[in-house]
Amino acid sequence: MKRYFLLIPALLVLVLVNFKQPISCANSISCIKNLNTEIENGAVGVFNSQKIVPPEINPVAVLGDISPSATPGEKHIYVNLANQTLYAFQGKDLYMQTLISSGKWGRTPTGDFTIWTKLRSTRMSGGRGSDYYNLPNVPFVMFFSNADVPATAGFSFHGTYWHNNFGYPMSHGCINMRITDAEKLYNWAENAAVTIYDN
Amino acid sequence: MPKNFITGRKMPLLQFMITKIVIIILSIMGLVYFSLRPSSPQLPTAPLVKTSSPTIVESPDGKARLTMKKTISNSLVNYTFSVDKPIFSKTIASTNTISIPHNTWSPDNKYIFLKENLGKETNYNVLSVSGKELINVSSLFRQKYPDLKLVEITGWAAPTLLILNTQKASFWFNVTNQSFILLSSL
Repeated sequence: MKRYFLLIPALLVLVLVNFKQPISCANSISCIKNLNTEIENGAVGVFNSQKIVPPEINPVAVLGDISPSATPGEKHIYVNLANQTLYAFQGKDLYMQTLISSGKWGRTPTGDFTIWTKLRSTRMSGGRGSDYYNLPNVPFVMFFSNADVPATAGFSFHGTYWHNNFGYPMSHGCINMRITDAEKLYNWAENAAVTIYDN
Repeated sequence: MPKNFITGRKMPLLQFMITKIVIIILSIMGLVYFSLRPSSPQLPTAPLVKTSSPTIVESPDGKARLTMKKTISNSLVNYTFSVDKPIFSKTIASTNTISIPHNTWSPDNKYIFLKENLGKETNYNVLSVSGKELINVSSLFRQKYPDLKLVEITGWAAPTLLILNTQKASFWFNVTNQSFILLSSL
């Protein structure tokens, strides 16, 4: 009997140690529905209970202005959550550095990732109550994933037209960027590795 | 006694005397010239004006540009802000500064906010890009919450919502109805 009393807590500890909290979707509604290109010019968005007019997307130019890079070296995007800054390197050369907004209402995952798809525009929605948001035409989206954070979780880098508070957490887990920065990164980040860290 | 002995001793004295007389004559001539010459008109002293190169801050979508021009004149600085056309101008003491915060543009590019450092006091002003509206957010906040100290305004939570941080709590400031909305405590 005494042996069982010791065994039960030990098993519980073992379960808790090995228990991995499932990664929830970055955008709790849209990431379940679809993660495809969507251009909805004229649609109105909602964020922080305000109506938001999204930017118009030119469907002819959805592929973006992707120009081949002349600089040699592996491309790597680093995001430091502590100072809310993104650094993009090609080899040893810093291609760009800018302030971002990471997760406030949802946690941004840390680790090494790969970009599994790039979309010129899509709709993102989630939250509930006063936190509900529904944003069409989110521009320059790059979804990233790894073994622990599946593609279906919908974490991405993307342009942001509904707030301007970069340098401070403001997202539901994604990496929010100024539209001009997101475009620059989107057009450059072919086969780029991603590392997100917090220190 | 050689003949040039006297000449040799007297010559330096003579030369000295002649030099002295020439200097005195030249000095007198100089004085007479400067006292009799027609006086030139007294020009007003121009203040030292220095214009620094303008600061330009693009909106996050790259569609609008805010330009700040700074002109220093003696102990005063004039700041002029333009979005296509001038929208705001202010002259302050050179010990104070006006700066453009990183997140100055509202998401819809209809408003900007500026930070004014006045030594011990900091003022945040919101301006419509049309130039028709100017709101001193810091002043309104002090009136509404005299016990709280506004630490900073970081940016925009939405097209008309500014984010204010105090030492105790965060607020939104709604630009359209000039109201403060208390968020969760810091």
